[in-house]
Amino acid sequence: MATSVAIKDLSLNYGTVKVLDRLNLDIEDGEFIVLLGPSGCGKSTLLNCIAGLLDVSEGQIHISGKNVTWEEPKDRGIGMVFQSYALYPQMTVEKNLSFGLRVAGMPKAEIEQRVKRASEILQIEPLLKRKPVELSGGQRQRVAIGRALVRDVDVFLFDEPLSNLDAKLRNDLRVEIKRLHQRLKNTMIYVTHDQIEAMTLADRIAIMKNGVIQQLADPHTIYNKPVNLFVAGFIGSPSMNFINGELANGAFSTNGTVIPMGAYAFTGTPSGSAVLGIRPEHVQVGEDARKMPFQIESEIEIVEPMGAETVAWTKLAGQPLTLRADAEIDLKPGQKILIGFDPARGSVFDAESGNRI
Amino acid sequence: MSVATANGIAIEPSGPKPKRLTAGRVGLYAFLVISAIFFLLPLVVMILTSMKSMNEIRGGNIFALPTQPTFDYWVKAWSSACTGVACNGLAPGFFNSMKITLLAVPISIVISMINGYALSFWRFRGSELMFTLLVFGAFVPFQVLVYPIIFALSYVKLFGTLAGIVIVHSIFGMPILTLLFRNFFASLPAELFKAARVDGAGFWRIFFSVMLPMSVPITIVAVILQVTGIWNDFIFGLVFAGKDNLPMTVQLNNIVRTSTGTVEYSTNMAATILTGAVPLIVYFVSGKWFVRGIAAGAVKG
Repeated sequence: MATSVAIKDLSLNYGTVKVLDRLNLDIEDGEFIVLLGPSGCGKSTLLNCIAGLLDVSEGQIHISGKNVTWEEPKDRGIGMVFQSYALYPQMTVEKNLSFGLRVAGMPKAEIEQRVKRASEILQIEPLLKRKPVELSGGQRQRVAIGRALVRDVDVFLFDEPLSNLDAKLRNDLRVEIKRLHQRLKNTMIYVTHDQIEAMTLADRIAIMKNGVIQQLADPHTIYNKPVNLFVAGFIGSPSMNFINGELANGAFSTNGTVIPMGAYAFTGTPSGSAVLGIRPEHVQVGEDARKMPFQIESEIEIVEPMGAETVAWTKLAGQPLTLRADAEIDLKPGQKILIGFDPARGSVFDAESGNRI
Repeated sequence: MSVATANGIAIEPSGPKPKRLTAGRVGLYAFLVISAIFFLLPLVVMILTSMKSMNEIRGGNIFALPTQPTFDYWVKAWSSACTGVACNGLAPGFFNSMKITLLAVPISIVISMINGYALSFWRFRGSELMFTLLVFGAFVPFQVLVYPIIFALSYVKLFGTLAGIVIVHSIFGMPILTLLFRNFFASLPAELFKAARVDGAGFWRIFFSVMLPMSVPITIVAVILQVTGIWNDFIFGLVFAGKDNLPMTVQLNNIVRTSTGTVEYSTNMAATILTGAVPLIVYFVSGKWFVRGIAAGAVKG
């Protein structure tokens, strides 16, 4: 597949503060990339650089094979959707959609045709004559997407488009964006701090921290094989359990408890201080625990019923451990129960560098 | 649960809490009424006096109602009172003030609006410094600048002309109006500006198509500020306007401060009310906007 967007050694500094630090990213044609990270990690800054709304300090940006580092936003072949919708409040929906085309001096007939097509795709035809104040949040965001759609661009940029919407609407629009991507097959770059959005929408997720991409991979790999402690802790809710201990001869020991690592695919034969990461849903209880390679008796401390499942807090060798159990299993605080997990499904990190080993 | 007792019967609290007139409330209203009377009294006295003959005024009771109310003095103040040598009343001053205001208000507002827009959205190297300098201008006592400006205007042959006074008003309105507009534009979402840029609009297109339509409320505020400011100005008009363009305030001063003949209080009062009428009407018509503008300019910054 051809490369749609290529970012080469991109840096952006505000004085001495490095917001983006020699960042490289290749995005394939038609790919849905999600930039995910905590606030202040530089994900929105990166998106603004791609859009041409911020001048970069170093490096290059290529879009559709063209170096656009010095180009104006309008000449980059991008459309952008903002968190606050950023609709022009004094214009009707129709005028909002056609503004960019009118600025470009496109013939009236073609503008009309493009607005018609976009409003059909997004099902906002009945709203064309209304002003933004007369629209609901979801409708506004649809119009904002439509504004990118009419311009017939190669790359769509989304800057936290669903963050201002309530939970239910967010789910609905998330599915709609996915549907839109399947229909249009454009390259889409999507910034969010919501891991659910990232996991559900992305072909590949780029997890960022302090202006550096920590891991760029498909959602499954990100979730199951995080490259370091930051990625492991950021993705997943409730978050991954981290158990501090020592690694020696292919076994992990913590406070006298020895966990044989079994089939875990180590890179090399590491030893020394390490952190074992276990996802709460990989910890089994009761009968299921007996089938697991590692089993231990423990006491339930706190129970949080979520409806579909129950999250319970317990301890493993004196260190806190959460587990997700089926809601039908009756768990009570103070209860002694057998828990078990497969260490091979976990992740082991070097305690010092935090990297996966 | 607290249960109030009235006439020995317990009443369960339910529905809206009954409103009681407390001593504090009464005092508050009394204070407000007295304040209103206090501030309105001078105006009442002025209106009463303007309708009395000189004989009646000499009677001494300034609160007495006029026995034979007359508007003669209003007519005289408008058309035939002596402002120095000429005896044409305030009318020429009124039209001069109109000319100055109608020219200076739009010019200063348009320039300040563009300033504010550029300073909040098109940041350039040194734009913050520029803004600081401009706002600093609002704190320089203008009396200090009168003499240098006389020189500068004489140099370009505009001293004592209508163009001269309009330029002076436009420049002196700029700091505070730029502050007003910059703060207004800074309060608009930056994403709106970014969206317009992605849509391909440039400096002027964004200004006219996106920003200008949103600026109606703040522009009304700016108009109010400028109209009242320029209309009430005395010193600039006196110094820079030249004898053909003296504004109403200067003419009023000439009528009131005449040193020949008797002091005709009725005419003076009528002339003063006439001169103050324009800003008064502007306040009454647009008081809500005015307060909003003061708040917008003062709080955010």
